[in-house]
Amino acid sequence: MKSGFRNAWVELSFAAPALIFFLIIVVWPFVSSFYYALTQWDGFSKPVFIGFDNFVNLFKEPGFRIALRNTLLFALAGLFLSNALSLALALALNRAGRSQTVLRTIFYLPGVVSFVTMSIVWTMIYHNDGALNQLLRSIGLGSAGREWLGTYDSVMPALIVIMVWGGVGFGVIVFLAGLSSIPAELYEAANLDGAGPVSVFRYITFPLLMPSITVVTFLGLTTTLRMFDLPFIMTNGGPGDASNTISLIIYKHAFSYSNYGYATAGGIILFLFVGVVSLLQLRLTRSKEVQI
Amino acid sequence: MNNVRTRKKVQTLIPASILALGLLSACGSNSDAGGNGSVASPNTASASPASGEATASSAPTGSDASAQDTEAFTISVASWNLGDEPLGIVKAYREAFEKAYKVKYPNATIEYKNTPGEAYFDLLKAQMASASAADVVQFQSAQLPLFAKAGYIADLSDMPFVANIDGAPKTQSSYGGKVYAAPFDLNSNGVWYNRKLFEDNGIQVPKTWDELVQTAETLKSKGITPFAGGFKDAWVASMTVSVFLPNEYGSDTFEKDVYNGTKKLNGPEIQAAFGKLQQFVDKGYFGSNALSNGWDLQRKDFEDGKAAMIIHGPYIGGLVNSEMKDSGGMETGFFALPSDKGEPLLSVSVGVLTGVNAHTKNLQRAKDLVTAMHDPDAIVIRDKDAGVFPAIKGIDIDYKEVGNKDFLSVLGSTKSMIQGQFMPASVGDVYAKLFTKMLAGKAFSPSWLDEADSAFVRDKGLVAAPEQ
Repeated sequence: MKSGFRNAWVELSFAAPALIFFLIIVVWPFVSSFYYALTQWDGFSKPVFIGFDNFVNLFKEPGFRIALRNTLLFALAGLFLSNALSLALALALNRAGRSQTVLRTIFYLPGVVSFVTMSIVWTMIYHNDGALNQLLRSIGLGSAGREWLGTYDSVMPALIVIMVWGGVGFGVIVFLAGLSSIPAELYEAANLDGAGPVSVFRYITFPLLMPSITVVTFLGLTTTLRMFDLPFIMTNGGPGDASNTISLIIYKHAFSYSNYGYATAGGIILFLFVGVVSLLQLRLTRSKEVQI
Repeated sequence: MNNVRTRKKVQTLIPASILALGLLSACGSNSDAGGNGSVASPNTASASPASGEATASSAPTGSDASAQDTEAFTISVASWNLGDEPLGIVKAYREAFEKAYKVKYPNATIEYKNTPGEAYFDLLKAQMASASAADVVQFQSAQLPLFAKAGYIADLSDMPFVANIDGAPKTQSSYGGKVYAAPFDLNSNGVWYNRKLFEDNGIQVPKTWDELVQTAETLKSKGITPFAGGFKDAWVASMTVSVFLPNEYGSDTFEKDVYNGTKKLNGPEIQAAFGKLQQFVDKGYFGSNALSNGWDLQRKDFEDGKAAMIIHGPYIGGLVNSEMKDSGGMETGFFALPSDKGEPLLSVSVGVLTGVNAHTKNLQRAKDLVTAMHDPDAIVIRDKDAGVFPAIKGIDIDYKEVGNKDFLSVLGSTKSMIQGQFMPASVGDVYAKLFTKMLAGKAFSPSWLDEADSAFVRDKGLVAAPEQ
């Protein structure tokens, strides 16, 4: 018994240097953020304790409710559009033979392009005098043209298109890796039994691809629920609050308004939001996973 | 048994904690949170080919050359606008003030810590809070009360330049009755116009609100956009709203009255300003690309003659002419936004403030560097061709660019106020948001302004209270 106890302390002492560093750099700031969320604090002066006012004011802020809705919209679009498109492309590429490598690179390319470069290109496409409106005019649909990023009903779809375009390649790569790990014998057996493509997908491909779907969905959700860079660079959350997100609100309150207490409260809400949604997603997708 | 259990607990606890906290830190991070999409202050690289004869009168000298300090040392200056720009004006300015500084400190080395754009202010706040900032720091008026209140910047009240500042420069350099920074330049936003387009279309500079609307109608009827729009950039939208506000305030104490609770931000004054913006939006005075264009394309529309007017600050005359130097430049003019309530009210502020880190080990040397940075000869080099207007009295520059002369003349003859002193930054952001909402086709409703009032009530504690 004594030996076991001593071993635990020896192991702990080995971990201690990294652990202490981790506690100071990560744990303490995180824990103290719960205190700062209850204060009005400009980052310099002594924080003033205001109880739960920051949380109450956040939910009263009209922009916060719209940002919450937009954040969910980005997450749902990522979940359904991006994942479905990635899966469809991966399935098509899995049969593409020698062209697979080239097509895989092409689909992955948007994911490695610098976001600033990407935003400049898309800004030019969506500009009122940009490529999209010119294309619409050239095919006689000029009346459908608009300031795509400056109109309430088009700004979110326009941003979602960029998000899906930029993220689809990553899903394709993960799904292709998942598809390649499914034993070919299962498909052969299914063929012998006369199973059609829909049945093969439903009873073989989809269940055995579930671990890949769990990974892609988890990473996609945690990224889209924290959506910041896309609306920040393209629209600054506008027009009005039409493309605002929770991360953008947190950033503005912290770095533009020096209202760190309020921003911290927003950070805690976002953390809980991401945590709950991610846990639900993991529980759901993991329960569908099957082992061979 | 207990020991085994303890060991197991410890073994489980460590990875579990690391996993959980790793997840937490991942959830809280944003790779681009530092943000590089923000636009740098236009003060950084504005320049004009116009050259003017300059005369510097009184010199705010503080360095006593007779008490020379020959010790070799390094002194640092942090800024967002001391980096090189294409025309070499800032470099020439640095060389000029270094020369002035080295009269007293011949073996000094000045180390420049230049960070462009908004990132500078985030960095400066972090450095100030961790006592690792440069010896001399440049910042804007909004930061001064924060830094002074926290004791991060030194009291400069005994410095010679203090005798040469008054009005907005003195107010914005001071906190609690003490002067904490040397003001470099004067800022005011108004309407810049293309003189040739006005002359070609027989348009006189509008003096009243009705004349301004008539001017816009005339230009629009001739296929010229009255005002270049560039509201994709939030700071342009916010600045444009801020130009419309003072005329509606009714008094230069309006913002103080709001702070003291006798006026409201959702009251008739702000409603009137947004009513006028709605009028401009409804009539299409900002053009069809107002929300697609950022500040760069806004300027281009003005330079290309597609738009006749542009609402901006003092940098326009110099900047437009530097960008158009190959095509012969543009003669600009400037006027204050007219009011329908009589004389216009202009908001005047200081652009760049230079202070001394209270924790510096080189306090006197840093103070002397501030003096050198405001040496009249150096200021003339910095300001003459760039369309920058000195905040320190007694430095007279004869600008060749007509628009810059207009600007000075308007500044000297128009009633002015300091805007935004008691307003949290969030209020300006709400205004900008409401303006873009209007540009996107929503009709202004007075109830929108409740959000501005709520933001003010919520963040009031973050700004310095007015002196009673």
